[in-house]
Amino acid sequence: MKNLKLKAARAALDLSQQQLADAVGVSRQTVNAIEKGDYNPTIKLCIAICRVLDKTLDELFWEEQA
Amino acid sequence: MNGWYIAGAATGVLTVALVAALVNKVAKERRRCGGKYDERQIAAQGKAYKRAYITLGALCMAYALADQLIERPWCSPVAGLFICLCVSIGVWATSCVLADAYFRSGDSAKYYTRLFGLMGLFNLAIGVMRIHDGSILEDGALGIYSMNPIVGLLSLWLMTVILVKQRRDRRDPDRTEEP
Repeated sequence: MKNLKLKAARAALDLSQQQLADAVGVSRQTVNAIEKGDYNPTIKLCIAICRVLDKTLDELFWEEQA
Repeated sequence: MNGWYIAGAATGVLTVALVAALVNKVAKERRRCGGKYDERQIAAQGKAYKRAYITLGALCMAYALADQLIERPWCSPVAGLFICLCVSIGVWATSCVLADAYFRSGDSAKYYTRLFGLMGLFNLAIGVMRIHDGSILEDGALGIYSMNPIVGLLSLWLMTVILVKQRRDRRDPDRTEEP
């Protein structure tokens, strides 16, 4: 499932995938894979992304059950 | 032991030392520049290693079986093992390239594409020469000199995979370089 919250939070800060990737120390393809839902990041990477985007884990990675 | 033998051995040792020093220098430079694989790439490489390992095992079994069943040897053991290794390296590298796990964040895909292209053409040219003068076969079986065309084909295959992947990436609608 696509992570649209992450994509929206990144776009809100006017960051490209490459800029976010550089800030958290991963490749651009990894950020792309997380946004597309192709890769589940470790908690360490989730926290790093949350810190850069100034969001909580819930705000970016918690999915409400339908 | 004659003088030529000693000179040959010394040249070999010197060449290995030079190559090791060069590899060490490149590795140090990469560490200094901070290029490293991230967690997704390491996980993808693990899957690629698994595929390559299974491929190598299957090919070695197939080679051993073929060697038993075919009375007249079609390939020397060294060439056979080398073919199995090259195919499994190809499986590993292809899996890594397709999963974006082959290049570190600072690596230039263009550099590697050119390198593989040159290596491929160089080795294929030597292979054609070997086929032309007949030295590719030893007693009617593929010998040690079949390594050149095999490495050439592997290099050109990898170059093609990288180019196809780059082309596919450019069409990815989720890709954003700029916000």
